[in-house]
Amino acid sequence: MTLSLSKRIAGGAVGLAVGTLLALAAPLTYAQTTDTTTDTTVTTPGVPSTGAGGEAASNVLVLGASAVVLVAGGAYLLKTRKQA
Amino acid sequence: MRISPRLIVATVVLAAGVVFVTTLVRAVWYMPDPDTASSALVAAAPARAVVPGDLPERLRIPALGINAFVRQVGVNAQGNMATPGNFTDVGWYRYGTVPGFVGSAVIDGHVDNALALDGVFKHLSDLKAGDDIYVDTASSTPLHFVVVDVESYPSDQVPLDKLFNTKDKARLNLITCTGTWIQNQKEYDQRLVVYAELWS
Repeated sequence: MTLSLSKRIAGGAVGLAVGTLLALAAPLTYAQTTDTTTDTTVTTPGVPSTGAGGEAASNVLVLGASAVVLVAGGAYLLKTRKQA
Repeated sequence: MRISPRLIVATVVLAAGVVFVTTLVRAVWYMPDPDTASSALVAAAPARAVVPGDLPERLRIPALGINAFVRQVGVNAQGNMATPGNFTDVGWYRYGTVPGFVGSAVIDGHVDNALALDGVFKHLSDLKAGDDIYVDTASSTPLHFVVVDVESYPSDQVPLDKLFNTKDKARLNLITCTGTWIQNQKEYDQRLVVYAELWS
């Protein structure tokens, strides 16, 4: 009974260790190729995302709306300050 | 207790000001891509006898009027090549080949920003075979590359090995976005690549 429990604990520990190693190795697998001719490893990332122009319309809308609130609110505050 | 209308309006104005400034900053400047490469990945970068003076400092393309500062970029959280934090500089992939050395050095740059203002590589597609590209370094005369090909690909079909790992001669590859904006992915659907080779 004791031996069986020890085996189970040992087996669990080995499984945990293997799982940990695999988890640690995972980040290395996503973007590497091995160049066997020069015996060096070159990291090959994915393509960069180099633009954001599609956001322009919504950004201009937000900027315009907030500018209107700023101007109108500012004018109100100035006007009421004079009246106060 | 009665809240003053002036206080309410002042609060709204303040909030609008914060929204305005935040939107403007985020639209004009990019959030810098933090380099998330693991230490093991960094250690796996190709060994090369490079001194700091060999590293690229400026990229010049006379045909397009480009004279841009070269930033060093790595890999972002998505595993993609990172990009410069603004739309006027370019980014050299620092885990790859150094310009002027045998292999494929890769430099990226933005096509536009979030107000649709032109980025440094807005007109990269105007380059044609035979056009000159120069890379300035601190220690040598400018490296002179000549364009040999200009290609565009769907973003998921870019030949990464050709882009990063062609090692027959000293190459310089420039990459930027092109095509149509995909709203739900927040990126363009194609990539433009300019392939150049060292001339002198």
